[in-house]
Amino acid sequence: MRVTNKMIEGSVLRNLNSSMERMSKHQNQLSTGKQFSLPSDDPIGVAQTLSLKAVLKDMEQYDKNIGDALAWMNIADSSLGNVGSTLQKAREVAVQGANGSLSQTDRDILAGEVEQLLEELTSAANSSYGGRYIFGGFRTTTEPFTSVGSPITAVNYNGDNGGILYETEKGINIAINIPGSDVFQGATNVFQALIDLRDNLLAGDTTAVSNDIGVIDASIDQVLNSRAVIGARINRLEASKERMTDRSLSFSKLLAETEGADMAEVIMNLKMEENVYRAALSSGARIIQPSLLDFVR
Amino acid sequence: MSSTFFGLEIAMRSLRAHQRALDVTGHNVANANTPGFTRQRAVLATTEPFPMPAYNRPLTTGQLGTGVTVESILRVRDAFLDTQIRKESLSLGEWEAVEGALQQMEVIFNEPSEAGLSSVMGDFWDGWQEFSKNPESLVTRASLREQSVTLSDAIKHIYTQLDELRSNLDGNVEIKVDQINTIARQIRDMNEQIIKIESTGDNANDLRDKRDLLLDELSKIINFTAVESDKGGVVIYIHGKPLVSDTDITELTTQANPLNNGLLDVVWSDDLSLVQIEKGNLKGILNARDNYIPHYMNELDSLTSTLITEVNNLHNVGFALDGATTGLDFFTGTGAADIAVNPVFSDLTLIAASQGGEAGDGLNALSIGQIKDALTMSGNTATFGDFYKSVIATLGVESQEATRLVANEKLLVEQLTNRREAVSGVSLDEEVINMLKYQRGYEAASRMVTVMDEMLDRLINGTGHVGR
Repeated sequence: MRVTNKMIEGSVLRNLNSSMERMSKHQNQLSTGKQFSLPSDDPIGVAQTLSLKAVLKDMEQYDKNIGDALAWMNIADSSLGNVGSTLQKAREVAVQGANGSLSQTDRDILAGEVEQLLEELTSAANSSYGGRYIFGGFRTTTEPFTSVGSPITAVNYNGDNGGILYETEKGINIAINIPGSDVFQGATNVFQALIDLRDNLLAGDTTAVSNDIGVIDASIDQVLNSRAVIGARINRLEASKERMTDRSLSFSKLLAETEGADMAEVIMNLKMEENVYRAALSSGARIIQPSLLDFVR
Repeated sequence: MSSTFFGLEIAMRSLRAHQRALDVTGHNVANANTPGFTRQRAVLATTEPFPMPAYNRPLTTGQLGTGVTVESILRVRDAFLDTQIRKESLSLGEWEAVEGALQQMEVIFNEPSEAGLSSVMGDFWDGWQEFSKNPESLVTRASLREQSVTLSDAIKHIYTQLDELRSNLDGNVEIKVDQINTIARQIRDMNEQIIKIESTGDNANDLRDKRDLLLDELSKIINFTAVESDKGGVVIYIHGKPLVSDTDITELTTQANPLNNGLLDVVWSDDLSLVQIEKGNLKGILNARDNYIPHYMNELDSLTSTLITEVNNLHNVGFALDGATTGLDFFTGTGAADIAVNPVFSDLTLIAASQGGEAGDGLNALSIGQIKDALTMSGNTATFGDFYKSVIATLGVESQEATRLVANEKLLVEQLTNRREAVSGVSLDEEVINMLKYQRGYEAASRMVTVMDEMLDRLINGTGHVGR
């Protein structure tokens, strides 16, 4: 083939250009740490990156949801703990009060103690977290339990039985609350148990007071049950949090593998390309310069 | 008998011819870097020998050569390569236009990045989750509203940019049509001159080079067939209708098409009939404007309208913080062009989180947040995320394909151009050799003059003076 100067110049320029282009691509990968920056660099890789990022983002949100759920439930757990110890104290009072050798004055003092415990109980039942009452069902902004009269003659429930749901894993909604009606006014009305105990102490009816011990025991069981439910949920959430952490770790790794540039490889490629570029430059410089004109006269 | 001065005459012809050939060489060297220039050759030929055959021819040994002349000056060119190059640059021009549009769309969608729609949409869904956990709070309500505004703005922004890209391409159609007309006019002028020059028997080499260059340029823009007429003019047909016919020209023009959003059609200026554009840069522009970009606009639109419907359907049945207000749309608008967050939510309490009306009830918000995982798109087979991902992947594949095709076509055109250069290009080495060759020829001819001169000198001044 006949080769002209223009052809050589053109091909030298073209080769330098394409070498430059490849170098700039490697340089770009090196400086961003990413394998690709546009969908067309690697459509499948980009699609994978998008889904991995979405999954990771979801997990982050679920993790946050679990964290919030746990915070809520831990408050509920400790409130129920307080309720339990209050009831335990009430039981001790009842056992004391059932003793027939006690004077009425002593029983009156015990009754006053029960009244205190009743107030303590009401306040525990009205526990709130972040300004929201945790035992009111959906009615988180109104006090779920209001006591009537002083001394207290009844405690009314103003909440509902709504279950507040958090999504803790894809498609899995967990109720984070237990409505106060279930805890305090289920089969046994915990408040009524204490009101009866107080009234019976005031009346000096030791038989009734003895009976109250049974009712308080039932109340303690009822509260314990609710606490067990919460505890089980806390365990479940903690397990799923742990699982989430593991999975998000492996997904992050996968993401890094998909979109991250292999630095060693990129540096190697860049170095190789640099050599090619140098070679093209020096051979180009050598081949463009001379012509026959340099040799005839 | 030949004349006494016959030898001088031969030498003179040789001097003249070699000078002429050197001029041609000089012209070649001068235009070594001129685009479109074809190397020229002085075709040397012997002149009529002596004597002519006749009964009364002189009785000398014949035939005697009478010297050299430049018979013609020719372009060294392979017309077949021209056709091939034009065919490939047609495809090159077309894919370059498509590639450009697709690459711009990639930039507009801006994926994968933190600012891309997929990320913004993720924040939007997270906003509903956070809101569902804390529906009593004005803070989560406000942040949800801001995230929703960000989302609707992002969608509108992408859609507007795609629309602008489309109108830019529409502007390019006009520019390309102008270019075609300009080239056609120049070719007509060339035709006129070439016909004039070649009617005298000369070759209009340089003008033909210029015309071929114009045809090369035209071939990047639009498909055509060029046929040379007997007189030396060229006739350019676009799908059978002549754009240029020797010295006549029918220009192209544009006309807004109300059936295509008022975008421009390319039509013939004489009868306003549609120009059949099959290939070339102009075809690529039209293709990007009418197919590629609208496709992605439609995809974005269908994503948005489904999003609006799904979110609104659920939001409508929920209750605001007051426990009574219901039946509100969350988004206004019908698609990607006009999606917006309902302005009534300047009152944040109106966002409907609850299913039953209680303040702590975030179930409706949770349901809306979970639309994310519902199969709402592509005939209920894909989530929003899946759908969007596949749109981006398709864009990536299409753009990659266009880039690959452009690279291939470029390579082809380069190879063919190299082959043409191999035939028609100026090689300086070769020209230097020619220069030496013709110089030597010239020198030899002038030596011949000296020889003849000395010979005649001897005859005229040195003879007839015996013994003197």
